Amino acid sequence: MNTATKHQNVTMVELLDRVLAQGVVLSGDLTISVADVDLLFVGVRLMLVASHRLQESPRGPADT
Amino acid sequence: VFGITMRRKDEHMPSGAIAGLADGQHVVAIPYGDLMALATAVPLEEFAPERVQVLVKDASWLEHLVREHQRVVEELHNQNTTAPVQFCSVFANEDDLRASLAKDSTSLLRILRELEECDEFEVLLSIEQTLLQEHLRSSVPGIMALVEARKNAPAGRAYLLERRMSGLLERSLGEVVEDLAAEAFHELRMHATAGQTLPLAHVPAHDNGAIMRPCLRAAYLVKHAQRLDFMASLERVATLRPELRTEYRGPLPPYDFIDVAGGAELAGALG
Repeated sequence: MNTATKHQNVTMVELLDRVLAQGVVLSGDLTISVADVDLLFVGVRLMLVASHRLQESPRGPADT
Repeated sequence: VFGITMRRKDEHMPSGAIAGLADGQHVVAIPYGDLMALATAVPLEEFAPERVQVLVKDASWLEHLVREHQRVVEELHNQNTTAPVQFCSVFANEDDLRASLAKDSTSLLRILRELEECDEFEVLLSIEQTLLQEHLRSSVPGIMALVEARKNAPAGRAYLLERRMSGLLERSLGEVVEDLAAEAFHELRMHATAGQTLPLAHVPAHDNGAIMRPCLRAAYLVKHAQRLDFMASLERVATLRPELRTEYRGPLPPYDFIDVAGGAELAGALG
């Protein structure tokens, strides 16, 4: 019989999405503004997603 | 800053202090009114925009920092209901942080009252596609008829029948997945304070190589008192179909029930 299983592994992309795109946004004098944070991490996220997809590809990076 | 919680009478962190991010630094509570910000000291120069711009390109630095941030938020939430704060929220000093709490205190207090005694659970349902297709081939009359007709058909007609069957199979599969997602969502929602669907994500192939089709991804806000019922409900969902794989994450800090766009507003779907 099927049972619900606890999912343990959280990828870096999922984690980054969670901690950056969610949570309370405080206002005021932060050292890095919200807009800065978005700009800083958007490139990193894209890089991580691309690398994640390459790892999952059954043909592997050499064939892409 | 890792998170915001309601101010406790003692104003101190509980015993078993939580390690911060920098060596030797622990998480401290910075009170303002009825709120407490949970934060740790970090080298200010490391979080200047120019410096972060360089550091984020270092994958090991970033991964370490993000995973440590998440560890601290989860440990804090396990001790007391904590509204997580967006990653990289760094203030130059405590006065700046208190000024921020003062500005957002009304909405922060409302969020914390709504989240009191609650955890988030994320549920991921996926279907073993090949198994479900096999089941549909032998149970949906329209598909069964096409399978029969194709057996003795000449090559050209067999090709056309095959195409019709593929289309019908895909439609039937989509309907089963949609119905299953709706049934599972509502079953779980009955035992949660709030629930919302999340965008479906790619599901990697099963360990046995089977292709998994995403069915439902949803987040639920579950009060401590509801947890046993919610878990029992999750087990019921897992048995809805033999091709179904049911996974969950939690208890987690309630990230999905805070609307960042609204600036410290609680997301809808409550009640």
